[in-house]
Amino acid sequence: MLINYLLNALINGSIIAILAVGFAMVYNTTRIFHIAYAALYTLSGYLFYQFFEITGLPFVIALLLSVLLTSAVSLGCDILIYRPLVKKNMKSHPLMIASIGLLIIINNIIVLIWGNSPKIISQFELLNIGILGIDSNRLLFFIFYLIILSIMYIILKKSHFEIVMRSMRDNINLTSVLGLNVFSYRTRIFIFSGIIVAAVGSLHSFDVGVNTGVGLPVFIYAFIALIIGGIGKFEGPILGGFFIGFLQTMAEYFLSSQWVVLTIFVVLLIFLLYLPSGIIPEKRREL
Amino acid sequence: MLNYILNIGNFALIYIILAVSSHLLVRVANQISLGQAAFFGLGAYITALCTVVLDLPLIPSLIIVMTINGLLAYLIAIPSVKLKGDYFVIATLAFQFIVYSVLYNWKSVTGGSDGISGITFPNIFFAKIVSEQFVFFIINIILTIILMFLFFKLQYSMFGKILKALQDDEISLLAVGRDTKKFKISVFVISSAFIGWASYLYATYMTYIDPNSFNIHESIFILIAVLLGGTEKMRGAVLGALFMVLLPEILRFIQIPDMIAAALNQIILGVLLLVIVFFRGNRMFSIKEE
Repeated sequence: MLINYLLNALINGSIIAILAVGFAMVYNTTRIFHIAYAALYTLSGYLFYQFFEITGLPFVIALLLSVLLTSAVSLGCDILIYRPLVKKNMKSHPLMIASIGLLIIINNIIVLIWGNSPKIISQFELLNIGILGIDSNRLLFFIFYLIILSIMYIILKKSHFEIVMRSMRDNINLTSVLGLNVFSYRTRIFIFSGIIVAAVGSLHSFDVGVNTGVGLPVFIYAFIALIIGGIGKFEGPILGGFFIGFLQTMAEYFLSSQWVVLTIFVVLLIFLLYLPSGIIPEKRREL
Repeated sequence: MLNYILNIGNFALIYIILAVSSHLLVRVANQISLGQAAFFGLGAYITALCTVVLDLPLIPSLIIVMTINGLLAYLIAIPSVKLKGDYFVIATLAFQFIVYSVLYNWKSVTGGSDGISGITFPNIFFAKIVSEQFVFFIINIILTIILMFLFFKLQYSMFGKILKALQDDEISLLAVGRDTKKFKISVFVISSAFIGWASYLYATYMTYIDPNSFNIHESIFILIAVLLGGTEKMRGAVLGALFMVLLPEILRFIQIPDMIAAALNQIILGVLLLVIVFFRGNRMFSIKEE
């Protein structure tokens, strides 16, 4: 029983951590409060449902197609909506409003295509590990999430990608003056964040099903994880994600599942008031 | 037919109150709040308390709703005004989710997902002569006009001038010794208190409330109603609210199936939001071009 709670905490934590990193990539570099990220999460779940359950493709191919299409939509959001606005020198408020518009549009296109009712994907044992009464599928998911996290770690930390992102965050004009093609990096950032949100969204829809409302709460948890963990560094959102995951499970275990949301937001308010820079604050020189 | 028009008119007026109150916050304090439906909902539940339990007449209930909404807004505003931009949005979003969660889960008081029914409109002597909807419509119009008059006056008062200075140049205002934080808090409080009017009207008109009318989507709709009009003038918020209420009726009129109409309605709103951001953008938020 307890071990299942622990596994639950780890799975929820890693989902939130991955999404928080994906969102932080966009948020830090482009300064867009990319709420449409929530819609991409929902979209990937539905695409996976479509390919796996309705079309009947094999698991891996359905997953790949869902990831591919979602990252294309993610890039489309940037190229069709955000870039023209940025070229018109829009500040963060109008960009956020545009993102809210995108969220509404994508969510309702999903409703038009697949309808409003929740979808459940028929489960099967991906691999049988019969130990300790653990749901072996979920253990496998957790391992997969860990793999995603480590791939992100390698890509971000072991290449110059993270440094470029940091420089885009600090001063985007200077970055482009120094000869880096900012728009090509933007493309990569939106594709990459689309890939990770789709991987998580598809697998989680396989796990618990999907409905039109799943995206926004998860997105908000991810942003809370970002605030709690600290925005500047790669480690911050991951720490924050697992923190939220454990908080969620502990609230479920000690209180009741109906008070989970309340607990998380109260903790968020405490952080906003007393520790707004998060657990891992960013060292910045004040100019 | 008359009842149909009155029905739409009542909803439109409630939305106008919501939009005009929120407009103050967006336009003057330059803050996007995603927690307006939380105040809307709180006000509605306090209205239920006033009319179902305490059986109070119109004006005392309105005052109680406004006071409690304003006090809560004050408590929220003190920490929130320190936050800038996206963080303020997240703080209001957190408030929205907390309120929704409490309304939904505190079953012994709020009735949970069943909501509260049997909220009655206070007895007014001539309600017996003409239809109740018509009386309601008149009260609705009077309240809306009072609200718009107050807000219009506010713009040209001393307070309004300071608020104008606040959006133009906060730092100079600080330099001449004005406590800008205090003004931002008061805008938030005023905005939330007058949302209480909309709550009162909504709750007594519907006679039934449940938490799902006050979720995050409602907050987003209130925000869209403010933004569609372009935010520069108060009449923009009025037009935005009217449009929000009329659009579903138009879609029904041209006989689009209900299932598609709801989604199509929202897609149209989303597209309009993108269009308005594209053409107005920074000017919606009194952001100075550098």
